[in-house]
Amino acid sequence: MKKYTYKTAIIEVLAILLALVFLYPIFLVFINAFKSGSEIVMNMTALPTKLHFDNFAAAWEKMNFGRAFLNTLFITVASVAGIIVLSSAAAYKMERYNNIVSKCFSGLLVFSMVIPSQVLMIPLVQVARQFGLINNLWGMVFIYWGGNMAMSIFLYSGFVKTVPIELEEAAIIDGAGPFKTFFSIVLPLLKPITSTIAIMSTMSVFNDFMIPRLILTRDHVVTIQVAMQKFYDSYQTDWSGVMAGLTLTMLPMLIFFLIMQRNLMDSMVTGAVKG
Amino acid sequence: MKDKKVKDNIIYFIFTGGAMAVFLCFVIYPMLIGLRNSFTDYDGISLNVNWVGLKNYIAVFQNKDFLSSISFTVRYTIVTIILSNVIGLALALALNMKLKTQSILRAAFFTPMMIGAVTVGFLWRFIFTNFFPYLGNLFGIEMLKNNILTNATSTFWGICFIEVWHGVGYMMLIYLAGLQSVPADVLESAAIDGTNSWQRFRHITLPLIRSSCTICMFLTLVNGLKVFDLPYSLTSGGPYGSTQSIAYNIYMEAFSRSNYSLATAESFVFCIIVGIVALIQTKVMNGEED
Repeated sequence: MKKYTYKTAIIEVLAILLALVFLYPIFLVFINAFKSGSEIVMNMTALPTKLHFDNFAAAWEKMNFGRAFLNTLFITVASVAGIIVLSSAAAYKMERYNNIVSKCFSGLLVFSMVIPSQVLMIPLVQVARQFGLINNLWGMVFIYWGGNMAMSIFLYSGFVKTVPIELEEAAIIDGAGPFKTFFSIVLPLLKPITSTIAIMSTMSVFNDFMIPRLILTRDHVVTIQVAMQKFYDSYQTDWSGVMAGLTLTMLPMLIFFLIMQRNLMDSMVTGAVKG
Repeated sequence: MKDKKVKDNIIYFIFTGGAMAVFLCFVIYPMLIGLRNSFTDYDGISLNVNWVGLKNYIAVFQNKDFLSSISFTVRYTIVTIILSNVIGLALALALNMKLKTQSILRAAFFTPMMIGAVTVGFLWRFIFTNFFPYLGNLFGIEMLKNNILTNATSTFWGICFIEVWHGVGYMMLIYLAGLQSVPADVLESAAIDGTNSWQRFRHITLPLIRSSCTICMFLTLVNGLKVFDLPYSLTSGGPYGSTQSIAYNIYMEAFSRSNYSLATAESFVFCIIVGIVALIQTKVMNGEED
């Protein structure tokens, strides 16, 4: 039944054409990032005649891109690492000891999943001010830890159930302490779901805009997504700058996608299906 | 024996304590503070805070901007649920036909998802304000010559279209995963029995990918209701406030117009709306599954 017929070929060609249309806006930004402002207006769809790398230099400086990139990278790495360690450890013990504390905590977690982030957005600024976390990169990291706990613990809990308790008992008999048992026996077995959580939280943290916009107000702590806003004020004029800025903003995640590809897409599906 | 118990408890809290601490500090605590603020006249700065009872909640329903933002959000959510799911499923069905370029196409349709929503808004702002008029002038197409973002109706459809462009690849992946679990031999024997492809889709494939449908519906529903980034970066809520979403309206009330406590009250009304809609959706979907 699943033979490759002329009908399949037509669908294939149509799908490829549609994919090209799909990617064209991104491609358009890329090619225009190398053009001068007047060339963009005159010949928008043509390939650049001369490569204007100075667009990138200007955009880099305007966004303070090096700094913004390092800030974003730091926030992403620290957030994802913390989310994984905290949520896997908690899910593991909560699953093994189903006591009253575990029950209350998981009840709260489930309840919090219905709350839209916009509800927390306003008081979060107030809380961050109380704790002295405004303009503090670690503050952002803590906030992402808190915000991602519910989903990650939920995903981990489902997975911890599949880890046989006998393995842990054997490790304990062999003289391993609770930490060694967790880090060298249990955590490695949770690897598939760990990579799902790592990828999903990387994407959401790296591309987040609202919380950094509110918490990080000084120039030296902004993230890439917020730095892109610099072009927003003068959006009507400096087109080549905007194009270069957009390219710089999109590039890190597109490269990440190129490297991870299959793994990333599979993780996104697992995350949605299990969540 | 008692020592062992105490030690177990200590270890339990070492493992779970970190998660509990960050969750309580940055989710539950802000929520409680917000709840309290919504019953006061707190403006974000002033130290003199008074209880005002339900005044803010009454003001929410007298705020024309907020009411019109509910209307926009509902229309936007309905349109994006339908378009994202229909197109996503169609793409998944096409890609599932053993296409030779399947894995490349999968990645291609998913690519927009890698770009942050605010950046997507900036990108499409360029396409709408420059590229489309450019095409219009090049080929003499009247319709494209005007900036789409100056007309309320076309802006609305523009936003919906971009959201579909941004997220449909994800829906396609989830549907594709569902389709790949449909056993080929069942479809084959049905084909031998003389059913046409629509009947096979309607009576075999669709019931088998029900769980994918539920997930995609839920995701598009929740994302639709929470939409913030596109109105923020693409339209700034305009033209004439016609594309203000609920989340955008809350943001503007709080951080642009400094109606801090009103915005908090709005956010809790919003929370209740999302909760009720999510509950109904889960009930309906589960009911159909039985």
